[in-house]
Amino acid sequence: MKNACILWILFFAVITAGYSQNSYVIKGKITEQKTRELISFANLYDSAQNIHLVADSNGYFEMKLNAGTYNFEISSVGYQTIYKNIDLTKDIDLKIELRQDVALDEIIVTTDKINKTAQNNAAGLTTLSSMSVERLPAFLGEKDIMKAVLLTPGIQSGQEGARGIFVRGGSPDQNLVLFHHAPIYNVAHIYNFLSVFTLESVSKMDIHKSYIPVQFGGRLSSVLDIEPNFGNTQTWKGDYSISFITQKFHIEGPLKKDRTSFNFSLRDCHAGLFLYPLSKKQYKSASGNEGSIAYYFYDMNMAIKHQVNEKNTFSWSFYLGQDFYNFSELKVVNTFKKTERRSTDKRIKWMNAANTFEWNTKFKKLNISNYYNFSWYQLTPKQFLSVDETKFNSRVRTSTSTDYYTRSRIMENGWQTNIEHIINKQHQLNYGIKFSDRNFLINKVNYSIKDTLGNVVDKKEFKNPTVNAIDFYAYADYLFSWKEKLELKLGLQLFTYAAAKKTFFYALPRAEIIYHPVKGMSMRASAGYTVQPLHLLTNNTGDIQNDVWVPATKNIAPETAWQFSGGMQYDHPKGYTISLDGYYKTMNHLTDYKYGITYLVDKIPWEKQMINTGKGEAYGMEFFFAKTKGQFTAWCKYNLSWSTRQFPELNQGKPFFYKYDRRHDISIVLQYKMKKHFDFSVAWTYGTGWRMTTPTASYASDYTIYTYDQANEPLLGTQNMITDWNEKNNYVLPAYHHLDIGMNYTKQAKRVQHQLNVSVYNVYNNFNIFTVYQDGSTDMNGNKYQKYTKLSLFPVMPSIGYTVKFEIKKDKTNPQEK
Amino acid sequence: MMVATKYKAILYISIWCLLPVISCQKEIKFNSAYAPIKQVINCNFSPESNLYVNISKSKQPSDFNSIEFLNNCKVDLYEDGVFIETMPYTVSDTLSGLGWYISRYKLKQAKTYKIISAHPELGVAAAEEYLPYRPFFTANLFQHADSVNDSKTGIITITFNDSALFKDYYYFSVYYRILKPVVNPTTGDTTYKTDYIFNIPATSTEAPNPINYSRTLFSDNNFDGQNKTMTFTFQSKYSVVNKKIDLIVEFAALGFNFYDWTMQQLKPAYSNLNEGQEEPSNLISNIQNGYGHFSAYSSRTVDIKIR
Repeated sequence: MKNACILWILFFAVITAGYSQNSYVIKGKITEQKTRELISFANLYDSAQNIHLVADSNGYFEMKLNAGTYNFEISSVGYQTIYKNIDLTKDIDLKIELRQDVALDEIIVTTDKINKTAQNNAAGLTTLSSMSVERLPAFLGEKDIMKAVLLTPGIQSGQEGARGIFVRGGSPDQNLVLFHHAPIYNVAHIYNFLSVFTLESVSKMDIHKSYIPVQFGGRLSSVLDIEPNFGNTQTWKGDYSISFITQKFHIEGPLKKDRTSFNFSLRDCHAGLFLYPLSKKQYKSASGNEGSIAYYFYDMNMAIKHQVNEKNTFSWSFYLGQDFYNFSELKVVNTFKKTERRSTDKRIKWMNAANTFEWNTKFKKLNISNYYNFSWYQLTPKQFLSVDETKFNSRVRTSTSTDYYTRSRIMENGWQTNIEHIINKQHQLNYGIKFSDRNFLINKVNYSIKDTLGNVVDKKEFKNPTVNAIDFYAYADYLFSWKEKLELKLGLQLFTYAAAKKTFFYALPRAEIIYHPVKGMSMRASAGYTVQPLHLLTNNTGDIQNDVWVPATKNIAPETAWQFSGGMQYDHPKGYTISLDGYYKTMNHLTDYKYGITYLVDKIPWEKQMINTGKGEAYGMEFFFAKTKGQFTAWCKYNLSWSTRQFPELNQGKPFFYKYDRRHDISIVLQYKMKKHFDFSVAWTYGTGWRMTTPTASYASDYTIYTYDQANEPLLGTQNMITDWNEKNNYVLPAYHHLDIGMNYTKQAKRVQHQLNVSVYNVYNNFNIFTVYQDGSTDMNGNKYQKYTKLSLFPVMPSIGYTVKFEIKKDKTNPQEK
Repeated sequence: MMVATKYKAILYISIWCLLPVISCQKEIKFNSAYAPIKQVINCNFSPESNLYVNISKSKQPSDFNSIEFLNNCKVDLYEDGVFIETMPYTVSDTLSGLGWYISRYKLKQAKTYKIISAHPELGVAAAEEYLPYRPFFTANLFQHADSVNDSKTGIITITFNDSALFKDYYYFSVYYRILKPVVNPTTGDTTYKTDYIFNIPATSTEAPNPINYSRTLFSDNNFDGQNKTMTFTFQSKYSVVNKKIDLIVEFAALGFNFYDWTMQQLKPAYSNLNEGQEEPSNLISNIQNGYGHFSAYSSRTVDIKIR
């Protein structure tokens, strides 16, 4: 009895001691060592006590812990991991600095969420930093973050020259590309070989393709959330680079040390300078006519961040980019009676602009972010045709010219308030609202004809009425963590959309569960319902002038999709990552042109030219392997996928394979850092060819037989024959693949770093198909027939680029700081 | 620095030399996409006439040779599932090989006909179609062009009884039979010759004909089993030089495949808004293991004297 009493006393003493143990608040911020820029979502992990802290989007963290000693591993993508011992005996405020991973010993591509262990990986999230792209082979001397996106699992390019990316069987318009929360509607330059984002303007990019967080809405397949580079708060630095087709200037630095930083970059494309004389010469030799092509673009980025105090931060970013494409041709036809000069001048101009203002504030446990964004995208193709005719007998010269000018535009204003609420270690909430107002100018056409004297003899203007569309959604996301073993995320987005006197309402649930059976391993599953209230009309010609964004209306319902996905991932501490994911997606109300229409026709209301009854199905699996540490690093992805579409109005209502139903998609990237100055990289991309509809048979019609009867002799060729196509998208074109190699040579001077980049795109000169067109030809018997010709854009392309980087360091302390 | 400039110059020169010699265009062949060669059956038939069936070989799209008509098929005719005969082949043009399998049997209304064509290399193709009754109808001409106003729109009303037993398909058309003056160039004498003016499109609010096809096709979707009156307008023709002008009103009941086959071929014209850049689409027919069509129609005409 006595012993029992002692035991009970001891037990209660221990319990009481346990409860009475002092708790203290550990809080702080995590910044980049040089720039003092706050690092979002960095991880603090004590493996011995299984304690996991994640900094918020502004780099701050806070948690109440029992007194004791902790050994935290602090890490974030693109930064070197550090370890910190903390003896917690009172409330402490830490300032942790992480160093950029300048040695590039790791490929900074993770298929998990931010950290390199799989402790907190979300399904289908990939994070890329601008540094991860640095060592990839360049295209014409230019490195591009969207090229790196295509090397990640589940994402593929459509074909050579296809604009946009294709995520898990979806189409390019189903991806929301956000630059500092402002949508960018066309991310492609030069047939998608370069994106509008320069490396210097980007800090990092998150790609969500399975569980799309509820703060994002309005697209079916994925969200590419790009965080701009706000510059360095400590030192001035910049660079100038020149490559085969572009040159860039970039500068960043502190406007006020530790408080205000800015970043500015400007890029221009001077390809037109050499493309113009080259194309002129080739055009003359190929067709005998005068003709030329010229192409230019520029991108300008500006970003400023000002930290008022520890609780309030303001930031602003601006992007402007424009592309110019000119094609001109002059045909001279001489006959006995007259000389005719026909000239065509085609000018296509497209422009993206994005502007975001952000105010971030902290209130108790709430981290409140407010964004105002403005986006603009405009496409203006112009065509000038003139015919100049001189008749020999009368010596009369007449000329007519036709100007044809179209314009389509989308303009968006948006507001978002997002609140992160960390209740405690186990429970976290994220909620807010988003409002967007879009104005669509679908197709405005101006047409005029001038006579010999330049007088306008006919003038017409056609304009589809502009459409205003508003969407508003409120959302909440709840994250529950249990003993670092299980994470459950439940989200709901209440989405309202109104356009042209019609309102749509959707409740969009999303859920994700992640289970960690052992350290480094995660098993995950997610489901989500998404809606998209706008569509991109495009066609198979590859010509950007036919790309038009249109809103959903009462006649054209918003697209919707359900996606289910699951998978597992293992991260070995020595830097090996392996993952396997599967997905199944169904899509409804997909939109396409009606039968017989390949681009918007002027005189018919645009809604009457579309069908909105499409269904889509996509499923597949994604395998990923990466070696992320050491001198030699590598990654490999393999996608196996199926994607089909079904419209009652097309293909006799039967399902057909999507144009970019790519069964196999492989990317292998190998990188080797040799000694101090050199690093090499090799990237090989392979994808099943895209699909097109080709004739499979031809046969005689009634009319053919009737003509035989009339002619009473055999008819040659394919006259009056009926063509059979079997089914839509029945033919798979040859596979798309290319091998690219690159080398960087870096030499560090005192304050200047020189970097020479040599790369070769498509080393073995594979003929990747850009487009296929029909062309007339004659066989050996003199019969005319139609042949198919494939056109490729880029053969083997060696390139060279040079970059000089400079940094202004103040050796002496600033007198004002003393 | 000089060395770097030199190497850079060499590289640039190499690139400039390399680019023009690399062709970016090549011909592509779609051999693997070609469908197997099959029989092509072309046949339109109507009551109280013999069945004429033309059979040829389908071709690969890259085959530029003349059509090969098949004269070695065994073509059996069935009526309501009962074997009637094996149809003999008759050559109509020896040079091209054009010919027909012609039945000795005259076809009847309200019967289902089937042909089975067996070819030693291409296998067996078959087709079936119901041959409907000739429809009874009345036609009333309300308005027509005349010597005073030769461009007046014609207005005609037809009344018929639609059967409730079947899904019915119809076409309506008008055309002219005229006695046209022909002047003998040597004698200067004028004689009159019978001629026809076809391709007179007619349209109705219930059966629109937006592409101005010579026949207005419609189904009984909105009047199944009813006694129906429909009003058609058409561009009427009148000329005082013609000695005689008869307006012929034709109204036909169609087999499903006749209707479907024609409508499929009209579809590109209906929706082809881009002047020929339509999406490729197949014609679906009732030929099993083959191409072409086996189509029935039963028409009746009414003559209205205009002049």
